[in-house]
Amino acid sequence: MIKYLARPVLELASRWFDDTVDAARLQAFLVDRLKRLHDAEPPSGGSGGAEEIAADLAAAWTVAGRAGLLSGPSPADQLPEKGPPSGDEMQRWIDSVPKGKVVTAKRLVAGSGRWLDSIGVADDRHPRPFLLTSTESLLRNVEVRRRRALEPVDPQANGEQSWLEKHDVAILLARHARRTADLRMLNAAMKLNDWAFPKHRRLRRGPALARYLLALAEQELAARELLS
Amino acid sequence: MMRVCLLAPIKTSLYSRLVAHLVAGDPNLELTDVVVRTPWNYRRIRGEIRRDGPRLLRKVYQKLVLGDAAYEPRDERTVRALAQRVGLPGRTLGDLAERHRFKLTIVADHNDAVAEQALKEARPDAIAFTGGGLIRRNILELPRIGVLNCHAGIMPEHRGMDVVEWPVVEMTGAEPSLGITLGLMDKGVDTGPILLKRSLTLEPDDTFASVRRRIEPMMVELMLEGLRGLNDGSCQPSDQRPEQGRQYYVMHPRLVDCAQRRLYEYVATLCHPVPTSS
Repeated sequence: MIKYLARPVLELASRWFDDTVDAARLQAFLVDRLKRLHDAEPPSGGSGGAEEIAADLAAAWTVAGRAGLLSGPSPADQLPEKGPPSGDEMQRWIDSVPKGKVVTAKRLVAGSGRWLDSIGVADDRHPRPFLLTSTESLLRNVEVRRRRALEPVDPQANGEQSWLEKHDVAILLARHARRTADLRMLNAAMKLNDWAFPKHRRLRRGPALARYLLALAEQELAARELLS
Repeated sequence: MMRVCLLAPIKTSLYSRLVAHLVAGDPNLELTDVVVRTPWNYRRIRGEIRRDGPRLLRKVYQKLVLGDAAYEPRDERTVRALAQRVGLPGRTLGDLAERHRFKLTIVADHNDAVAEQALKEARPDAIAFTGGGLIRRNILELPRIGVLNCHAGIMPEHRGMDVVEWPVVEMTGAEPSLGITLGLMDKGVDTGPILLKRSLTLEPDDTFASVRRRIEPMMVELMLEGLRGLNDGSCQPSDQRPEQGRQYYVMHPRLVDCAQRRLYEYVATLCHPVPTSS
């Protein structure tokens, strides 16, 4: 009798522990927020933060379209193109990383997600050893430290900046998965995005939400290309 | 005669009991001690929740609630069927301790002072690890030969977690590389020297559950083969290079779904092979 009762009780309890987010729910959230923000945040608005938000939303829209989640013209066409960093700039950043480690148990170097993604794009056919080693370290940090992953950011960042850094890593991992067909990277990106969902589903606007939507879009594009 | 100790995750583990019984019954091996973790420990429960999440509760249901009854009685290739074939007595490691006269120590953690003291006094040549969490340096350094672990995947290619599912989700046409590896543990995760490997071929009706059921008795047999081989010198460890293989982690449910789909599609080709021109 106990054995037959135990199973449904344990199944119910396991749902309480489950911090994954259903794919359909994430996709619906992504589409809903992009459509709402598309009207609220004009792509050519302002400067500084507003420009970056607009760029993230435009990129998220484009990528979500490629993932088959959105149709219609991409607002990205209306934004000025931002060129990638030069080889020298990338090398200077690599040289600045303390002991060559973008992440340890004690800190994440600010900008790691963005810079590593730039390196990955620039050197697409021949990933540099630093890129491979660093993405592997980020992967391990996410998988081992889970919800405490990628913290704290160095130099010290406030709450919103910390989220931006995490989303940049999720974006990097999803894109790296597509570039290298390494599903472990997509696996980690999905977990990062799931853990971020409870906080971000309540947001209506702002830089963290915009970057998160881009992270979700990149995840969905990678899932479409690699898991179908 | 080689002195062997065994580390077990719970006292009712069928895998642990089988290894203990077969080691104790081998004329060239001497099982001196079994050190078993108590499941009723806050730190253990917290650690396993963090690592396994919701899967932990399914594991608890299988291992603690169902126990031996989790296995289909008519399936000849389960660890339960192996237990019947070898006449495994009793229901717990305590029953086996009485039967085979080895010392049974119950600990909160395999790495704690109580475990370390028990193993130091036992002076083992080898320790057979049959589950219960990571093993730290203080225990790894105790036996003369090392701590043996049977990994449910082929090393060095697939280290870490869910290594039955990962080869399937990654496969690109050819048969996925499934099997088990017996190795010596070191401070890394599945990075220690390799002793023996056995591959496993998928069958038309296979699911991940059936593959795992077939793997379990293979792990028992490989552990015994490894211990006997180390004793008579026929088994020699070979080091892994760090750059060989990759580390795998708990699979996200969406990748699990994809792995199940790919497994289903692959085993369907085994039922209905695609004709080739000759």
